[in-house]
Amino acid sequence: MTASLAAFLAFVALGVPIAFALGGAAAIGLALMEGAPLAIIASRVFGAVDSFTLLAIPFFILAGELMETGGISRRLMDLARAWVGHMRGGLGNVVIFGMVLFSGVSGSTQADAAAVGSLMIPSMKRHGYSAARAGAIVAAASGMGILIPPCLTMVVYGSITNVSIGALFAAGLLPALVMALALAVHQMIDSKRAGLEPEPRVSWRLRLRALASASGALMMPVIIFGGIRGGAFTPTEAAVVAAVYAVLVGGLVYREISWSFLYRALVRTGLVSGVVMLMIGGANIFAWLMTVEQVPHKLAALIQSAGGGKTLFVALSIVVFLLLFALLDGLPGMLMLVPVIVPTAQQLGIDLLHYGIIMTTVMGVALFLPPFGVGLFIVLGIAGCGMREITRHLLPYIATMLVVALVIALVPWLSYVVPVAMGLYTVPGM
Amino acid sequence: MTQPRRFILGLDRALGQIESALLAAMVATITAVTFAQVFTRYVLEDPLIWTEEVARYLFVWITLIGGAAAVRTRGHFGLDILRRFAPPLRVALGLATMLVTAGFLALLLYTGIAETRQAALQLSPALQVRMHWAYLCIPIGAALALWHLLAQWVSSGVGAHPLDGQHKQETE
Repeated sequence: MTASLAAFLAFVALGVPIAFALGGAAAIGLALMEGAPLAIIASRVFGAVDSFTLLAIPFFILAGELMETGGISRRLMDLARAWVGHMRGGLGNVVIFGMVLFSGVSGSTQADAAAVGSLMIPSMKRHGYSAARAGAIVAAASGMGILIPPCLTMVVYGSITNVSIGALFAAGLLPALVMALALAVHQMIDSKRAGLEPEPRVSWRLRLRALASASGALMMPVIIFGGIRGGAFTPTEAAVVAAVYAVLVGGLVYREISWSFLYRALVRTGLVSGVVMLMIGGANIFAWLMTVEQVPHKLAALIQSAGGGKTLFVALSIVVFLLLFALLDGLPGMLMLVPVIVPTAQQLGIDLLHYGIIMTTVMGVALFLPPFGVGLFIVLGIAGCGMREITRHLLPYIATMLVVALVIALVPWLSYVVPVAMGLYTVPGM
Repeated sequence: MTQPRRFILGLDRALGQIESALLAAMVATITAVTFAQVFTRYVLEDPLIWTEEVARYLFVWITLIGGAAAVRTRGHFGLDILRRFAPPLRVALGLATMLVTAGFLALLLYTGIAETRQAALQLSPALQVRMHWAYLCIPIGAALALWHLLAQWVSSGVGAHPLDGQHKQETE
């Protein structure tokens, strides 16, 4: 066990892609174990992917690829601009509110940052925002957006831990709103101090027109939630309906999906699904080793013997998530941790729904944490500024986000209230 | 350009195009099949029984073919800090990484062949087809990925690294 853990760390440091590092390290562990059948390598990979629940992943990716055409993101941003652009904080608010809408049609945080960033940063620059300030606001808003369903992180977490994915989606809503409000207030104070003017007020007629023009895209979250909430759809079924809906809206209503665009979106969906699912396959070989060697059990005992309980464990988790997800692009880091850390959390009596929301929240921060966060590099490329400049503007936002993450960790009610009200979850012991 | 080199790189490119076409076809099919399942269950209230099984096995195929194609397009995630901060180690890091990756893929190929052979004796629950059709993607995917690694090694030399040019090369 120690050998395969050490091998894994060494492989990752060398730069072996995570999927192969997980599989390779697990193979070393298997080779050292007496009588362990090597054949489980292929069968664990097969078993991990042969899952109807995880099938939601390619469908959400496909829906996102199709909804991210220029026209749809532009419509959502126009809507945000018409409704909140005149408020103090102007375009900064548009980014945050627009991100709430956009995350509702897309399951990938990096894609959100790219789509909203490339649309908003140039126009923010024209209105007097520095590249670094504009980039920092987009980065912080994208980090918030991970909590808004659909969310691939939650699909993967739910499928590994058997927590209802519908409940996870619902549980993210209120924390996302709190995070969005905190960022908006922070941003308003910040732009007022910088002397940035809001946009002119827009008439109600134009506001309603913007709403109508974006309604095709806005129906997407309604379909996903309506389906899951009614108990009619499983998340996979909701995801496939969303993907087909995206083809129809983008192709027939908005007329923005050409055949070559569709082909590229299909190929990209296959590629991204392959990358994500191979990591899950590799993690599944690793998880087998962990279970056989009773690692989670030992880890829980260790934490308890150190005099720590739930609180210490959650606090440690947040620190580990923040560093590991920043270094390992979020999802790969999560796949590495979940097999060990979730059973440990369970042994300590931590509710896995709440724990999953904490993990997702911290991942949102980590993806944009200077100097490693992978999302941050996307924003830097679009804004055209340096790491040092953006860090100066981004760190205060990161601090705000971490405070909100602590609130989410300390107030489980925020995560429970929506899924319980929707009848998707029963809090144990309540 | 020498003959074997041209052959390896040419086949690599051709395989890449086949993979892209296969992925597009499979993703389109899996979407249609799963949508048909939802439609027949909720609208016609007479669900098809074979759709879920087809979708799950197609999903495994998409994963292995997509995972192999991503080796060629450098789509896999990895940590490249050490390489960024220690340029003198580039060749050594590249070589070690390629060997580990190839080693795992070779194991996947070997165990995949064994599993596929065994699966020939089983029938799938709904469709009653031989299970080796589902498992076959594992050895095929591993072999394709190995070929892409070989091609990268041939085109970029001993210091080639699976993460080189990450996310640059898009689909064709």
